[in-house]
Amino acid sequence: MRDGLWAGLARLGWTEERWNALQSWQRRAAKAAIVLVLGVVVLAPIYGFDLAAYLAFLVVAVIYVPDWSRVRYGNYFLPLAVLVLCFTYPYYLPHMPKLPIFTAFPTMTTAFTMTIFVMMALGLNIVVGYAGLLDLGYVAFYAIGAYTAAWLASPQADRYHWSFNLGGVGVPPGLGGIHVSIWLVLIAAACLAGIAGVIIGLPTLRLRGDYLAIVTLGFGEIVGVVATNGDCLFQGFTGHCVNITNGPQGINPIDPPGFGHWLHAHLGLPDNFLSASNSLDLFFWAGIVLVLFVVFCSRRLRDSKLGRAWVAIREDETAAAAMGVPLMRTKTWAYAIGAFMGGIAGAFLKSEQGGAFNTDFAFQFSIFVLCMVILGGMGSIWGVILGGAFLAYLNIEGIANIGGWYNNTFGKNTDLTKYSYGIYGVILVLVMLFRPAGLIPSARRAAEFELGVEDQPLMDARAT
Amino acid sequence: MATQASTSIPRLRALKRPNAAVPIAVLLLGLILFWLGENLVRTPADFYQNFVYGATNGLLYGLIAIGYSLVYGILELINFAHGDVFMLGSMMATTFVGVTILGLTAGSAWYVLWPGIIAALLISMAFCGTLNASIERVAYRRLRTAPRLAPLITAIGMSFILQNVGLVWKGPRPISTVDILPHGAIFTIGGVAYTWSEFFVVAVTLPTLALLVWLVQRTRHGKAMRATAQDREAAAMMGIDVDRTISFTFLLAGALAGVAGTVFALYNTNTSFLTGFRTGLIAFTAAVLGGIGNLPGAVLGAMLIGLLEGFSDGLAWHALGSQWTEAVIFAILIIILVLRPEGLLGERTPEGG
Amino acid sequence: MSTAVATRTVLEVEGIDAFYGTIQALRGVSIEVHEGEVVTLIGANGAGKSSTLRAINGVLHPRRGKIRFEGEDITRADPHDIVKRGIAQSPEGRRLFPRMTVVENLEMGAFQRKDKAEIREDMDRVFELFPRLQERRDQKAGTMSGGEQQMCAIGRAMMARPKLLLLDEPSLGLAPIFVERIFEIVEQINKQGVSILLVEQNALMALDAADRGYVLETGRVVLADDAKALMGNEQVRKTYLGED
Repeated sequence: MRDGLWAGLARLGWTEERWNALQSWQRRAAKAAIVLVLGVVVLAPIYGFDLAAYLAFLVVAVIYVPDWSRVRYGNYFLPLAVLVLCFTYPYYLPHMPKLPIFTAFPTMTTAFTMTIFVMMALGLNIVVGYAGLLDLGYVAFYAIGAYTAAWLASPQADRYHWSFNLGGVGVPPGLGGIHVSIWLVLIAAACLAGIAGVIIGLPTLRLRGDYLAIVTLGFGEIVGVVATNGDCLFQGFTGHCVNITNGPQGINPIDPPGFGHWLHAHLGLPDNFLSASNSLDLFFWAGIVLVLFVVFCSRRLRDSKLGRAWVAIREDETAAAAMGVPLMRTKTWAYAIGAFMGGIAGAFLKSEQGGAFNTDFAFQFSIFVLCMVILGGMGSIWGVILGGAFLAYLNIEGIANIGGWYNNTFGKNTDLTKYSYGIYGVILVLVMLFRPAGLIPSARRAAEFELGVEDQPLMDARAT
Repeated sequence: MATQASTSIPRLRALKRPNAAVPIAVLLLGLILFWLGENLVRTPADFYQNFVYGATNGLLYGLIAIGYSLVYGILELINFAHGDVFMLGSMMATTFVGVTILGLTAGSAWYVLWPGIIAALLISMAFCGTLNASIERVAYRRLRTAPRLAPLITAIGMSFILQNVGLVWKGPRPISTVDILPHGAIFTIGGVAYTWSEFFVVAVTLPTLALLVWLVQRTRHGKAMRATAQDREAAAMMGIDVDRTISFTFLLAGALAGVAGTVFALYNTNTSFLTGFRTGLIAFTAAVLGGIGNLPGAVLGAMLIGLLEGFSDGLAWHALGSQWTEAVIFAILIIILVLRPEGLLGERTPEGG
Repeated sequence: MSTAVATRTVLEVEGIDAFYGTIQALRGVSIEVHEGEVVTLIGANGAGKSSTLRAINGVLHPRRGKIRFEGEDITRADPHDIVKRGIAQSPEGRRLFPRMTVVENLEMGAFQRKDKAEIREDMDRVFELFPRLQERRDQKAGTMSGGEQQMCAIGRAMMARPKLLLLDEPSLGLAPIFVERIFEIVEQINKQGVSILLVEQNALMALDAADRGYVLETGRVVLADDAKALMGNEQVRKTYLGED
């Protein structure tokens, strides 16, 4: 198709060579112009001329077209611009135009959940993208984070008559249980998940790639079963139920995040996210800040000695071992750090949702997060952010929106959301076949797909 | 190069392994045997019933597990979509024997019933075999030289797609297959009947397995499969059409899934779009337990897993209960992979040397 | 080319370029093998010797250039088709099927053939050439020594009854006594009328056994001549025969 397009253009005097000879900003400007023309010709007649749409286009074009890397400090411009656009999202969202097919921009609730999923995708990216270990049980760490939050910030512990309050907010007077400030909960959840990562990792990480995938899948499934049956554990041993997860009833209510009275009074930080007037915005901003933290960690790790060790293991385990890279330790670190981020995300998401239920922790969830990493581009931070945001949006409202648009346009009555996992399956297969390095590939990963890697693992189970 | 690395290093590990694995394995085995014995003494009828049930299902898992093993042997790929191919096979069989096509019932005369069942088996085999080979052609072949994770991820994607095909085809609810197998008892032990429907599973499965062994051991295609599994490039140099051999392997694995799907639907009299995922994972666990790539191992592992599932679901004395069965199976998978990744029957060879 | 060629050309490789991903392995390599000849490719590690063989037997398709066998274009043919036409290879590193016995490995060599009686005759011939294999006929190939494996690999290639035999580094990693034995056998096979394309790092042995030779450097043919002439070439003596 690509060749055909070029053949057509060449007939008009635009050969591929001529195109490639252009400055890169000229090429981008041309692409932006094409999008603009398409917008005016195709979309405007359908949706009407919307000033906000053109403004939005202008902003994106100004960020996209110029060669920022040539300007002094220009390398910081793009991330900064994206960041500003993200932080100000609540302010311009009400003025955003309708979208074709997707119908609407993500609502604030969706936007918040998107930040959480981006966080998880970035965490999984460290395991899959950096260290090249396929983890099909990432849901386990999400669950651990979630149940940590559920224990440390809900009435659950009151069952065993443990009650205290350490900066918890939004706790009705007289409610028992442990109530810890969300920021401490996040740290605890992250650490617990990280420890779980080490515990799962130590015995399993010496397995070859696909065996590891299966073991992690097994752990993920076990966590799901435990979440379901966790309202009554160890009955055979102790004679009475030990209730960890409260089973299908779930643990709720989980306290909302907030900074508490003292910080509210002295620094003006929001007391309780849930009761604030701009509650949704607060959640969203907090999510962005957490994503920033995760991105910062990812970048520093990628460029560190550990990061290079991951690349080495991913590309040739035997050679890496021969160079003195400690395989187990390096892999376990990847696992623990990935789990750490999953734990944060799980805890924060549950504190927004206000409850942890066993049905949240299915195998499909792991695949969903994996899908984000693959779609965006394994090992590429920008790519994973894009993949995570896009798929999270699709999952929460995108597919429903598209379904609505489809039903309206073609007069059908299909519930597209029923088939969402089929859609993710198609995405996985198509990306792997046609753009295996992802939408925004990391240069290194793209090269690996081109040249292949020596990924016969060292610790092979071969008995011959 | 890879073979050199992989032949020398496990030897070193082999010196260390017995220290950890043997006592743990002996202990576990002892505990399980004791538990089984105690249950046998306390509730013999339950024991026999679940033994029959577990062994019968175990044979079915064996057919599916062999599909995983064949494909793994030749491509080193865990074909996640295999369980869902099986699921579609069971739906195919359900549709075929059902009202819309053959309209078989338990009251049909034997000369209608049995040809109908055989036709259902053949149709399902052809359908699943073709489907599996097409999946390989479309989704996996392009990725032969890609990093190993790429085809694995594609396989997961295919699994989701096939699940959705099942969902679109038959809807979200489990569908029931018409109950046509005779339920008369052949013999009775301790008050528990061994019925013709259970014998049906054996009567289909064992000849299929025998045929498969003959095919892999004795025929030209089988030789080509074994050679391709051991060294793909060398096999090509011998004049083996590697692509065709791999296609044939997928066809064979798919056909087995088709047999399994038909027998499953007729024996259990229901199926759903989620059946494939769960059954597939269990069968895969069985393949790993027996030693993936090893055909007799796959059947042995499947029998063990089937029995375990039956006992865990049905026994009462100090059992975890059926809600934990899945966790127990996965725990075994993990323990096996960690302690003895090559499985019970060791060597990873498709011919089971 | 210095020899006056009266015999038929079996193999013609014409200006092939081949790549691994973006890395170019061969740059315009052209070689010829005539009927009944032993031709050798010599060169350092990574010069493109094995890549040339891989291109000939269809494992690595060249991006440009042509390969003809007995006048027919096989540039894009599949490996199994090429074997069928009469090119067999004993690959570098031997690549036996480690979990098959010696006999099974030899049978695999005859995979394309259906003439059972003659296959048995050929197997007897291989056992005549390599009595050692006869002794180990039921042993798993992966458990044999390097020299025995090499014999088995050559024998396996012979089982295809090739018109052209490609030998990739048959002496690699073998004890000197085995190396000599292997080269004797190469000569014997050649006497039976099989053309041989021999890739070697052991340039001295190779040129000694060959009629003609090509010298490859960084994916190019830099010298092509009679084996005797190459042995006399000063540059070759310096670089590949290790003389000052």
